Amino acid sequence: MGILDIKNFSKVYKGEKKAVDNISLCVENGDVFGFIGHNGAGKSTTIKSVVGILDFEEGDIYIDGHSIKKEPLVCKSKFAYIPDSPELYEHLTGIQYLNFVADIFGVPEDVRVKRIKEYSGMFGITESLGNLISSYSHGTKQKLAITGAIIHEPKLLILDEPFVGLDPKAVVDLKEIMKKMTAKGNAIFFSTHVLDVAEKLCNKVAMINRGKLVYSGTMDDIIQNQTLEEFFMKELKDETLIDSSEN
Amino acid sequence: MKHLSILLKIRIISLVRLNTLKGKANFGDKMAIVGIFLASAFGLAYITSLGYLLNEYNMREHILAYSFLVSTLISLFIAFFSASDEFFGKRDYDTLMSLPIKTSIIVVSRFLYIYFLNTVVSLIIMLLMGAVYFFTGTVSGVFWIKILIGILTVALVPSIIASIVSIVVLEVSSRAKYSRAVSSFSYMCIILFLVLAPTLSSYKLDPSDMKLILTNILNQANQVYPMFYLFNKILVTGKVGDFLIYIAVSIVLTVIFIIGLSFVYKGLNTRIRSMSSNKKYEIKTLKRSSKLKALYVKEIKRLFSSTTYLINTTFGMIMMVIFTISLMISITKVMENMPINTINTVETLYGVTPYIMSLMVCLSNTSSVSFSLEGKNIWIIKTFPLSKELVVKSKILVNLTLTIPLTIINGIIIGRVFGATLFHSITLVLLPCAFAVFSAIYGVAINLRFVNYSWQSELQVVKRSISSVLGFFGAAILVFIAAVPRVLWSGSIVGIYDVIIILCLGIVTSMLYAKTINGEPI
Repeated sequence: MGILDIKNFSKVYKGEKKAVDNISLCVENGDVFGFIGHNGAGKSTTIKSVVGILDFEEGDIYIDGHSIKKEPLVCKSKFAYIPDSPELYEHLTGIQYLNFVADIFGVPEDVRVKRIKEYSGMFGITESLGNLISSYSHGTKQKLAITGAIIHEPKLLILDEPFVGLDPKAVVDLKEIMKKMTAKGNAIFFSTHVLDVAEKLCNKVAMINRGKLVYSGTMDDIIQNQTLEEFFMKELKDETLIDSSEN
Repeated sequence: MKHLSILLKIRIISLVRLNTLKGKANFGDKMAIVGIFLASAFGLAYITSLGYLLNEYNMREHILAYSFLVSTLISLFIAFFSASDEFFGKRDYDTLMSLPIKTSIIVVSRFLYIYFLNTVVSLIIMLLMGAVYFFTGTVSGVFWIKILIGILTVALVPSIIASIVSIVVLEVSSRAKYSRAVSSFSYMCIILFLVLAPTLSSYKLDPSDMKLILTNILNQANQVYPMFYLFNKILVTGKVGDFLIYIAVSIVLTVIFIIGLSFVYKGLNTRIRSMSSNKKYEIKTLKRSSKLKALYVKEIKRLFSSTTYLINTTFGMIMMVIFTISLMISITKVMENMPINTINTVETLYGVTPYIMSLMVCLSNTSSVSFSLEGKNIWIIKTFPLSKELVVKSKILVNLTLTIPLTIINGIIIGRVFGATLFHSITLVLLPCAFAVFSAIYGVAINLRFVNYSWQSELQVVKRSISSVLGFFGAAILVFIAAVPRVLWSGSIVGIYDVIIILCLGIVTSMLYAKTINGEPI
């Protein structure tokens, strides 16, 4: 069993057809797992169900062997999540937010200071930490959210479109952080539209189209004689053809 | 005009939630309709009875004037609490300003929205009191013109006055380092002034002569508010010239206000939205807290960061302080002025005081909107390893921080003012405190049941949401039910009655708390 195990997961929104249909995938320790698909494919729905934001009816999701349905608190203490557009507490200053996160995850005082210094320094936001979050730009909020997410060194980092809104240096820094985390045996699970980044960063990838998993496997298997982009377009085309022939 | 109608259409759709109500109404919507119906029925009964009271005192000719006055006061109140949010608190400001729409059109759309809300309320008030006028005697044809003009214009000037006051408060506070604190303090001072203003009146208000009170109120309004004077003149003379003067003054003032605000709107918004920033922050030591304390501190900061949230939820406690001060200063005078002398008024007032305090405590319900105010931040609570009980506790504690200390202090002072026995002094403190705990837990339960995370402005949550209305009225109705026997009974049994109420509240509160923390996850 991996650090994240999604088993026969389906999600139906009220009165509508299945947004996600019977997905199963496994993220293991040390993986950088890319979850790709076009807009509305079901990526965010899956991620929001994994992190406990959305309830779901079919299947189950396990974090380090614990069910998010039955043991949500145990699961939530093992991962950190960063949404695509991190809405943070605007009435707090950056440092107050980070201290709040550290309190919730019980990070010791000296450790939190060391980590905040390291990561906020890396992202270049240390000098702004005394300001209210409401005064931050989108990119700075994103950097603060990432700093807050890794302050407790989670076993699994879950990110929804993490590279949107980040400046080029921050993208490089985030990739560096991802590599460092996986080198320590932790895992990353993230959704993205940016196939180039996924190709260079991920060792595993899953592709979702119209709520159905169309591929899940290693990156090496995909890029033997084609790029990820070519593979993605081919899979998308095949699925569309199958759907139109069924209709 | 095309842009204006589009902007207004969007605001009205958002107000009545047309897009979300197109489907089948859910339980929440039905409850909202029931809540609005009950609140309206209460208000309408009050307005109608005022009309009949005037008729009773042979003041039928002043019914329309009074309907204008009541509409003016309510419009002033509504606009005062919604203007700053409407002009400067909307999230669509950036989008609208980037569109090819004139600033003046945006200002007009904002103002017309406030005017629309007030006019709907005024329409109900003036039509009801007009109906009383209609059914209690003969009416001339010009009556309908008078009432129509009144309905369409009464809200204009109060909306302007309230908007100007709100803008001045925001402008002054935006220059201060702690702008939110300054604006909150200013709003509290204005509320205190509005509440205490009638006591500064030079007119003697003798409670034993109701007709004199009603006449003096009209005289005072004539002197203080020129628009009332002009409208009253129409009612008395019915001359075309007076009609034209009144309408012209209303329209000219509105146009001047809109043109003036349009000139400074962008600058004001820029200043109000800009933040002070302390550059070069250095990380030193960080203090570790428990999860509960971290959540509590976050909640307290949330409360004090929002003027709308703070003012609306501290209103009850401000009233309690005013109530206590009034009792301290003029307890003897109050007793003398009680109109009903056939019963022991001292004992009645003495007995219902804990219930009056409880009602004020219920007005200060932060918890009934605390979850909704998480808004788009809710993902943090949902994805962090936090139990529902812990989050609920933090929100209850913030509510109790606001209500309990002030309730205890006021209870002790009132006990001394009345020269209460030790037993009654204890109930004076314990009963409102029991209601404070109940109200806080009930607020959370209601908010979790009718939670709304996708709002456009805080005001929408704090004043106009189902949970804020039910949060207050639900607890207030319970206070009323509990207070009725206390008013009717007398003798030694009433002390025991208070104790029984406290015990019952304790049981109900415990059950509600258990049900709340064990219910659906957040």
